Amino acid sequence: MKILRNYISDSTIYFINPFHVYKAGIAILLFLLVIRSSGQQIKIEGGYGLGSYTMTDLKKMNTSVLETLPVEAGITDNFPVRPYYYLSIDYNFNPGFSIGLTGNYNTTGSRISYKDYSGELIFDNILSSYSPGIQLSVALVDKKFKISEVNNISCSLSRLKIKEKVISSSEEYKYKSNSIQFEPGIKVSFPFSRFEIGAKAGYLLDLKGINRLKGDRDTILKDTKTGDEIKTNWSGFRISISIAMTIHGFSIHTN
Amino acid sequence: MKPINLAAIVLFLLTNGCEYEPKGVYEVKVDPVTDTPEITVNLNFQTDTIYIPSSAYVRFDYSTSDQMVRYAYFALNQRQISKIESTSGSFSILFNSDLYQINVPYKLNIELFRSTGSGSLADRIQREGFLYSKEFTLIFKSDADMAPRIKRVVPENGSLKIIWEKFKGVGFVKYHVFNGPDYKIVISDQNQNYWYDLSFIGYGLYYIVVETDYGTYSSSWYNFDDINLLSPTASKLPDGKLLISWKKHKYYGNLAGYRIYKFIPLVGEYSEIAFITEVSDTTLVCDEGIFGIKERFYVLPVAKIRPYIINDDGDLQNYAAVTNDLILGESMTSFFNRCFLHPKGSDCYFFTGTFIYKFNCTSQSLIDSISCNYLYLTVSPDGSKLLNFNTDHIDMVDAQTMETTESIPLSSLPDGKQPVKFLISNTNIGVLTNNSGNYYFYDFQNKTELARFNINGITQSYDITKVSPDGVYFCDSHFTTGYSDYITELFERENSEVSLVWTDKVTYYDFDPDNFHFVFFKNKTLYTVSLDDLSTLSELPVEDDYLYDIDWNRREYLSLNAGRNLFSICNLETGEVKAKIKTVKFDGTSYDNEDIFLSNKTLFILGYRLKLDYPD
Repeated sequence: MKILRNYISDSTIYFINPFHVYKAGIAILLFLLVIRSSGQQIKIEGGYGLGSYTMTDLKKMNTSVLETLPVEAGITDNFPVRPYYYLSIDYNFNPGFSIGLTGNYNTTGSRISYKDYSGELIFDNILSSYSPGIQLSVALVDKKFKISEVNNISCSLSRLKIKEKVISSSEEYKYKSNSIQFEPGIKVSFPFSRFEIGAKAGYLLDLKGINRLKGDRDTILKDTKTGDEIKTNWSGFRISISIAMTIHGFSIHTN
Repeated sequence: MKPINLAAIVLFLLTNGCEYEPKGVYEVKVDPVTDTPEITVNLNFQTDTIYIPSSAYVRFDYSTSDQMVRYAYFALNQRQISKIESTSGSFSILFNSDLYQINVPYKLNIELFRSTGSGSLADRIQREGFLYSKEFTLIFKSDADMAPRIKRVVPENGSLKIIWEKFKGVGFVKYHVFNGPDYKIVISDQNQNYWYDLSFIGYGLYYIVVETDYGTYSSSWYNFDDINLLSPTASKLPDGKLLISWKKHKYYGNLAGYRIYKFIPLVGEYSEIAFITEVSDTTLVCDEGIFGIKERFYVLPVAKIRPYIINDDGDLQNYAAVTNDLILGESMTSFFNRCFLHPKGSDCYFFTGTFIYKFNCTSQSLIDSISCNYLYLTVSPDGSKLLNFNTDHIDMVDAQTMETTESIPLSSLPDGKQPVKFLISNTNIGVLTNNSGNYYFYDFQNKTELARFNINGITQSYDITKVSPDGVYFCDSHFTTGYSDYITELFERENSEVSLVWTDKVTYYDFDPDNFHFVFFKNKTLYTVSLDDLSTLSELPVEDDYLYDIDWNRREYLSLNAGRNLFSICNLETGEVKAKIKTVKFDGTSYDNEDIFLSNKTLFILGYRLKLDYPD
């Protein structure tokens, strides 16, 4: 039994080429290397946070799947709030402004489940994404603690794994999607010595990416009933804590 | 930060940093179904072995009313030939000499998958269910071998059961079961492989034609004749009635009854005398039979269906069971034509040519006999004496003792010639004639010729000739000269003169031994005439056309109706009917019953007698 088969169709639509995103990141890094300054700092920051995920299309798909199943199954997991991680490298032009590279990792999922004496049915959607991007930070207050406005723009490289298991048989489908994400936020940080502890709150706006079957890009996840594409949407609130280490005396001299 | 705290943080981050694993189990309580349900499948073949005609493209139909059947799978020799994911469908098989051989068995497997109906996940996706499988043997046959074989024909429950092999083919429509070419029944149920032939009562010639969608196939013939079942017998009951009995028919369940026919071989006539509708009856009591005439009876079993039609005695002999011949009366020694005399008294006399017998009507037995060597006998009207001719003399015999009292040599007779006829009266005077053509009144006691005379014509040995008890009158019936008329002449002797005193055409006459009157029968009237003046003393109308005899002991006459099938015994004076006895064409077409005599309630004909019992 293939639960998903009604949601796969062939179509070709617009997509973001991740190679282009990489090229943009390298250009920005070169820019950082060639800019002329003195006494600037490099800050390496790692963060851990919680994110909520809209995933409207996939939730709708789950509802449709429920209706088509031969048994009355239930949704036991529906894209819950999940931890996410990020790592960033910032370059301070001056004490109030920094620019850098950032990367997030998010993962969440859903489950449709049914179980009786005869066996078990599972329909899992497992999502994960890596989001490399650019981070701009402007200090609003810079005293014993610092309050900054942080804006990220990144490219989401998502994977959707759909696992079906019906009694003893199982199937797995893998999809990929790409999208542009914007994440404005406010960050409060406390520098001490060479380190800095921070907390950030923001909202991630995902422009949503089309899911393409891995190995067959032309096959797109769609609702065959309506013909609508089923897109991954990571949009949601983000809160996180972070720790950063500043490297002093790092300078780049240019001619 | 202590290293251990840092390690805990890193571990936490690593474990939570892996790809998300969705959680949760939605468990539903569903009860399994463990009872195996019955399943009804309709196939257009119903035997474990299926014959397929090698000449036809045969379609197999499958259907079930069980809506929980998900699919039916068919495989021939483990090779799938059809899978029907429905509760009905069909597929076809055609003989292919490249794939199959005639008369070689192939395995036809059928599997049905039926849902349990539990509603479980496995049930919903057809991973849980009841699998029914059955294996058939499929054999390709030539058309000639397709027909079912009649395998048994057996009497059962009063009928005949024909059992045949169930049709093993496909596309069954009807059985046509024949008994002979003209009778058949049609059976639409393929599973019914037997039939009670309600038309069978002895003759069966069975074969079966099977009608199918692909043609008709005929079985070989099966002959079953079970005849001579009734073994009927006919016997006389003490009261004179006849009892016809037979065995209960073996196929009583098929009978509507029995028709009983009486058949008289002498005349070749038959008639139905009874139709018995109670098949358990095995006897029939019918009226008295026919005196002196052989009868036989036929018992015809009448089938509920297709009863035999009897059109002639040939049909009777073919279809009905026959009894033994039966004749009413006791057999006794035969006597020659008209050589039976019954004078007054209880004794009668007849002779066979070598013996003269004396029969007593009271004891109904022969009580004496003497030898003789001439075909003539005479007894005096009072029964006291008789004459017996021997080679060269006539013996006068005392009828009481049967001893010769007087011997009369030929030389003492008129002309010294052997007499042809001779009569004796109570007074020992009689009449005789010899080859000279002369008639003589003769005194046998004194051996003296009293008178000589002639008659008007020619007398024969069978002509009735009588002498009056007193020896004065002589009467003779004979043809006139030239055989133009058959007349009766009465002569009177007065001393040595004999004169013709009366002549007429009558069919019967006699002398009354009690009153010495002359009686004769003419025009259905019995006249009594005084011998003194030949005046008519009485006229008794007789209902019947023919008068055969008078028993002077009981003064009764024996007459026969115009149809010659009913005798009547009536009082001579009043005409009151005393008894009636059936006969058949008496003296009409028969040749051995022309003579009948009545004496002391006993009838005599050639070879038989019948003691009658009727009120005085």
